[in-house]
Amino acid sequence: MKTDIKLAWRNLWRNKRRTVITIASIFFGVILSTYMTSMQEGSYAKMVENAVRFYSGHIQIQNEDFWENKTINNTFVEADSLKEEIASVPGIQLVVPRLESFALASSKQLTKGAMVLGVDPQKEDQLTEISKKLVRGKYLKEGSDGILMGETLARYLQVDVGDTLVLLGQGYHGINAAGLFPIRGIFKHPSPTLDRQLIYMDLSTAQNFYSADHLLTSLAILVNEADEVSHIVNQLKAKIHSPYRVMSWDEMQPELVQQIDGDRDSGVIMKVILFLVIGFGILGTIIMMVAERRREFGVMVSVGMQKTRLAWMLIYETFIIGMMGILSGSLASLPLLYYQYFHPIRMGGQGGQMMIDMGFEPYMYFSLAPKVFTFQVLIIFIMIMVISIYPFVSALMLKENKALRA
Amino acid sequence: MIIHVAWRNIWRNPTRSLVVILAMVVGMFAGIFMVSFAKGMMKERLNHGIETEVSHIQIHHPKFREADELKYQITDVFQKTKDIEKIEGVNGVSPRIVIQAMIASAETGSGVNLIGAEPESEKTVSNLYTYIKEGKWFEGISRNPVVIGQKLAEKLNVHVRSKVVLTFQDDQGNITSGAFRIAGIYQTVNTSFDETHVYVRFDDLAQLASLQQGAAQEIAVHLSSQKYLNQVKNKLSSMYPNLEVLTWKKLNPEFGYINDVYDYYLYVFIIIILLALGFGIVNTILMAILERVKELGMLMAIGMKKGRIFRMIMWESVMMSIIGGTLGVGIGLLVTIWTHHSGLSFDSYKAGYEALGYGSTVYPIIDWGITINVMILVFVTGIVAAIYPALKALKLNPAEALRTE
Amino acid sequence: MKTKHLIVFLLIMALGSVSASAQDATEIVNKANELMRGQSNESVMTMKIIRPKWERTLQFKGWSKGTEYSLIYVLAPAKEKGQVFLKRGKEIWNWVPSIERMIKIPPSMMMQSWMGSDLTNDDLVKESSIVEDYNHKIIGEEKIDGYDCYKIELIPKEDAAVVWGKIITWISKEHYYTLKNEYYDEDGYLVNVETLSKIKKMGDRTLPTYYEIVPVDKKGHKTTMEFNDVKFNVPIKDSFFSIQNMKTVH
Repeated sequence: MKTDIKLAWRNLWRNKRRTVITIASIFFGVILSTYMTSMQEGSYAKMVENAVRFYSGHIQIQNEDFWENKTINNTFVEADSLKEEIASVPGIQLVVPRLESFALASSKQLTKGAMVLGVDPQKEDQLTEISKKLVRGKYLKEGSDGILMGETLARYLQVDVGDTLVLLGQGYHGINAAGLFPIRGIFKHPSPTLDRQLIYMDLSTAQNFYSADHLLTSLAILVNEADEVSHIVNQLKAKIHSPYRVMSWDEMQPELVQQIDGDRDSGVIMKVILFLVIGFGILGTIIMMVAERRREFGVMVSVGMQKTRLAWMLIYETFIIGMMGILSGSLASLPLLYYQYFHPIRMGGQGGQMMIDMGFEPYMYFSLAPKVFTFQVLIIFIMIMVISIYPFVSALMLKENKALRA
Repeated sequence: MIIHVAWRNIWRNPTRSLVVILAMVVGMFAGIFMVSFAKGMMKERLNHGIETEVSHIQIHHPKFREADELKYQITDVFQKTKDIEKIEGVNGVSPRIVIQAMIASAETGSGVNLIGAEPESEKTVSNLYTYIKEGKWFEGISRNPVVIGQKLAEKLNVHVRSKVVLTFQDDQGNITSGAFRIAGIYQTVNTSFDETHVYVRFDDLAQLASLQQGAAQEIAVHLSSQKYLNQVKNKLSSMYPNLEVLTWKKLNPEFGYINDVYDYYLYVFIIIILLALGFGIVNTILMAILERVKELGMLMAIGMKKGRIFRMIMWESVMMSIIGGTLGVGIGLLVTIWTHHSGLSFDSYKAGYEALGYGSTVYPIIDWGITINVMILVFVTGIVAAIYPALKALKLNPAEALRTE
Repeated sequence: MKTKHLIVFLLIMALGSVSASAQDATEIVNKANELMRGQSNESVMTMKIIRPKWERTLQFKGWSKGTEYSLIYVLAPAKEKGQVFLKRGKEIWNWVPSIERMIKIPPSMMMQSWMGSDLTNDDLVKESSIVEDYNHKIIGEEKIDGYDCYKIELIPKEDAAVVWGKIITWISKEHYYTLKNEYYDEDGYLVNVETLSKIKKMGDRTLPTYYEIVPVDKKGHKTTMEFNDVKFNVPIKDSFFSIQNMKTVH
């Protein structure tokens, strides 16, 4: 067998051009499929990130009763033990504390229901980048006594930066919550619902307003890599129990999951089509190669080589070509994808504008996750092995006399 | 003359030609099917948002969406409805009364968007009625029927035939309440929609809210196809210059975002697939040419000019592209039409919560605009891919060529 | 022929007595209601809100005239002292002295709990519909706290904007004290139980002064109200129930 492999090797290099062409078809196949997959995975991860940065974060920790009944009474204290547990799980980028509740916002003329979000201004901004959405006024400083509100809400209440807003609500354990707050800034949130309802306030100011000292309704968590979310969630769930509850974004927003998953499914079909095209490309090349060497095979067989031996030798050849194609393709795609990872493709036109309007960066992102490479390579390898059946069978069915006359 | 030669060349070596033709078929099929599939998938996704929640176009009083108050009305809605129905592309119109209200049961109360619409008209702009899980869409209860979402029904701890009380501020600014009985409960994928959207009959609500005849806050317009979107929107804007006319893209920008961004990705993917196709064909034809070195050498030796040889090879490619391409188009369209009728279903493994019966089934759609572009691109790829190999062939030295094995 | 007249006459008498007892049920409910309200009243009340994990006590002064007007002035706790609620018809106004603001409660706040209690803002404004919105029927007699009571079933009229499927009330035969109310939802499940006790003389009448509401499904939840003092049929001008007055009343 070893001799056969050597033979196979030498066969390949006897006709460089032919071999190179065949390797090239595999090379391109690998590059294109990894490129497409990287783009798909990258966009998926980015979509999740964009969606969770709007408001929820990848994961939230809440009082166990909060999700079913979102009242101020279902709050929790951010105990040190909780902080430690969270810190002990790797892969977490941000932990953002929040106190959120309903309140009635009233200006001189009008009154409307609103959602008050008590936050740590610095941390919150890292998560939702709300400061970038400001259209007037200034962002909140820590300990600020003022508020930020959505443009739509401000317009309805006919107030602006510098005016005072009255907030009335139900505080902790039924205590009445009433207060006056200066409007420090107005933002434009891309989600019309949020723009109509949201009021940001410093966390301690909010806790004071609701008589909810040291209490939080949630800790919003952003992770480093989107595909690590479920892993991190599991780790957190193992460490954190009653009276807290760990929820991941897909539990909190199942509609979003449906949307993004739908994308994933269609991505699979795209890849199948791509592999189909690549497969045929490689097959075509191999078929041509066999056809071209008919005479050569005829000679070998008539000189005494057993057909089976020839067949296996062709398998080795195909295998070697395959490996070389895959290796070179993988190596070449690495720097290409690295570059794209750091320099995502900018989206122009309507799509791009849409993304900007939503407050997102108008780029197509790439993923460098290992599975981007490994999976494609595996599929292509399997395809090549399947394709190698053709030359194998061809060799077995060779008719020397016909072959010699080719 | 050259064409005849080219044609016969093709059939002299069936294997070789079939491989190339097959590559073209696959490429063409891939292109067409992928586009149809992608479009079908997007429609599916948009479907829920548009077909169930927002519809294509909505008309309001310019201040209504900000202030949410009853007084920002559209007058004479029934006449307007008749006029709008006549516009080309419109296949559904439903005037709606929209009021922020409280719904209460013995268990608890909740803030909701109360929508008063005519049950039959509403069916033409929204497919919500297909999501009824229990009871019926406004049948079975004769007096003050109401339809609510599953999530809300759970919260209120009510079921079909239960009584609920709706409280809101009427057109005079007075707080008024009315008793309604649940005729049906619906469930969609969007639980927050289910929790906040409550439907009653137009007339029942108009009376309770003391609205004038023909007054409403919203008119929803449904189109037979997306392509009429801008056209109809512009027509409506010119018909009603004092009213705000918005397409779903403005009403629910999130849906639009996904739609447009996806188009972008689609084009990139098609390019990638075409590249794959291109490489595949280049390689295959290159191999084929190499195989014919001797034959070409012979032709050159007997005096055929290089230019003619080039044209001959190009013609071969053109014809194979045409054959392969046409076959590919045929198969592509056939498969698309077949899957369009039977649908491609993806498993709803997202049954983290109750099975909704909402399987993501995709019905590929033929978008002629893009499809024709793809067809042209594939043909061109097939032909262009032959240029490099053909040029290579010309560089052959006839003497050497003849001496190859 | 005379027999026929007699039979008709007897039938009419029979019908008369049937409707008489139906009338009696409504009359009984009406009288019991009247006892608690009077044409107008001025009172001092203590309300206790009890939850599994906490408790809260409120004290306030209240004035009411008929079913249209009422004014509440909060006396305790200290953080909320001075708050005033005014009901005029179906509208509620709230004066918050700590921020010097007058708020009109919008429909969206109607279902919010009033001062953290089991009552909602909506409950405050709902005209005592117990007489008009229901059909009344005596279904038995029972003894509660040593008093002989009528057991009356109230079924809401079809168009009535009330959420209950049925209410059962126990009213003492003598004196018309309401001693117990049971609130059922439409499926017949008991949702709330109200018990009234501590019958005392206050002002010009004797009536139950202690009032306890227990939601059946919520363990550890309870709201209690007690009249510390009440005067009935006090002359109060309509102008007392005004927005301007909210700022000066005490």
